[in-house]
Amino acid sequence: MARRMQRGFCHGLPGREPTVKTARRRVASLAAATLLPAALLLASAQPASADELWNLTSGSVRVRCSLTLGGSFDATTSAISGSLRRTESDATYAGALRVDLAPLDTGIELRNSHLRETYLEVARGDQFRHATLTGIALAVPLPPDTVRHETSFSGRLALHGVEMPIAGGVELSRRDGGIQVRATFSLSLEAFDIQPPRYLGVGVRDEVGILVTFEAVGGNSPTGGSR
Amino acid sequence: MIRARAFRRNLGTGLAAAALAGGWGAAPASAEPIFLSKQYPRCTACHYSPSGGGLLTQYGRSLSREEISTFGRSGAAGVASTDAPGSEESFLFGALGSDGPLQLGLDIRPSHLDLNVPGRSIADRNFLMNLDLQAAWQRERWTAYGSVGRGPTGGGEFVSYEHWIAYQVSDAVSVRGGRFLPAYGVRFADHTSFTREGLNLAQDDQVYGVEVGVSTDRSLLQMSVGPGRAESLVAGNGAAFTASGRFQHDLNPRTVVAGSVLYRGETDIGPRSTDTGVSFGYAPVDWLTTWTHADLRFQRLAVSDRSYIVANQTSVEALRGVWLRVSPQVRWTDNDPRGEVRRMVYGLDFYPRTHWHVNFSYYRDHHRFGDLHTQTLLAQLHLYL
Repeated sequence: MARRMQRGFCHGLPGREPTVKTARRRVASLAAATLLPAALLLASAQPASADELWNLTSGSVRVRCSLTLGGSFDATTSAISGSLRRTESDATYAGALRVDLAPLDTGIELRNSHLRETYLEVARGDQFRHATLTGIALAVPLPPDTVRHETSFSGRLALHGVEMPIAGGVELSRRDGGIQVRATFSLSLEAFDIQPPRYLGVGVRDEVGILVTFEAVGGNSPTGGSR
Repeated sequence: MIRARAFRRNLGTGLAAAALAGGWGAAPASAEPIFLSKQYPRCTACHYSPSGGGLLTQYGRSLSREEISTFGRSGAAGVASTDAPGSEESFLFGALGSDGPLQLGLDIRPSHLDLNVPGRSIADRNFLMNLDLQAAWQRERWTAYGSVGRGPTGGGEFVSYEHWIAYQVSDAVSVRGGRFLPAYGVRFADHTSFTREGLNLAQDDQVYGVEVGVSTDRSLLQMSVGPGRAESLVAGNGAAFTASGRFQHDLNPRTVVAGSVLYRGETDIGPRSTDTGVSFGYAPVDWLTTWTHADLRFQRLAVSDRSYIVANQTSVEALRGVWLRVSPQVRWTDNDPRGEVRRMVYGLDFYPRTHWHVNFSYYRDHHRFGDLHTQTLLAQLHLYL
């Protein structure tokens, strides 16, 4: 998409030029007219946007924790970053989404400190402080001209020093030259070697629901994304 | 006009008498629906009672220290401590430890009341609103709960507002039987709010009955049946079948909607009535909670079959442990202008330290029939030991 936009900006304006140059231009136009269909043919033979690159500009992660005595609370952060490049398989993305777990906020400090220090153990190192999602694959690739697309996805999540496959649903929407993504999945705390959260008789159930939303824009090189 | 004047005179006398008898007073329950803003949509996170109020669990006590009090939290730089036993938030500041299955609490509320009724001279009052000992014993799936304290009239008699036994059948299902306040609407801490006093859900309106609770991640259903209001049964005013149902659905941890129904059979002192209510709680940010409750009562009265109550309470945490509260309320009755009252409540709740709660509430009531305005100021120190 970015290349298309660049092409758009490169269109020349008509003007008065010397005759020799005009002749050369006509030859070039003729060559272009001849080669263009072939170029389009070649392009259509490849995946729609095989080199499509998305850089995250903003996003958030919401972890919904169900309490053992009923009800639930959310832990949220906007510290998500990363970039994704669509590979030639057309449905898989290289790159990674990375979430800093240290700023996860549950609304009260007691829960925050327990979550970060006792259960996620973010101080133990980078593998514990960050959650990283890689190997993202869509069940149905995003069609080139589709504004809104729903499908399922799979990937590998590294969390708490453990890497596991995960799967869920995803909704992609094109907007203003960028893309909005809303993905949901659930995971087992035990599977990621996170001890069952318990405090004075109140606990969190093993399965937690994750909602990841982000906006991304097309780009040529990976960037750090948002904070 | 003459009727309005007579009403005004009688109402003024009634309000004065109520204030003198301690009827205003009362024990606001300890339920804090304002903590929806902290993502606590259920009472049972902090209270033993599924319908809220009363003795705090150890978890609730810990929160009262670490998250509610201005200066009470433990550890340096706000880092919370997990040293539950023997710590400040425990019964009598941890003098007896807090590890056992028996949990105790002492509820003391010295108060000051200033009621201003036009045409009446009413002296300010200083009094001990509450002196209650509460206890809960929990072992495996069983919980036994009871309280004993001074009666609401302050006449020296003792009363046990609540005593019940509960059994946790499964993760989702629980059953309790005994004396308790039925689950209905939203339980504002102020028991004089129209949604409590106006619905006969005030400090001594518990029922005897059996309640079944079904709790899931996103919903809570509570249903109860019983022979009637406990105090009426004790006083020999006859039994009256009572049934209640309340269904709460958590749209998310900060947005809650609940529907309630409460049926009371006819007694010697009251007609048969059915209350239906809808409650909506919303906390867009972690320092703001707003609850709105609308209620419709059907009952057989000489002048009207229906009465209505709408109340809102919006609370803002201005500073840690300092909550500002505004609560507009209105109630009216079809075909009976005497029943219309508009109330505005402005409140300040300050939790300087664990166990300490300072409450200032200013009530401005407008009785439309007779155009009577009354003001009440309640200043209260709530010690929860």
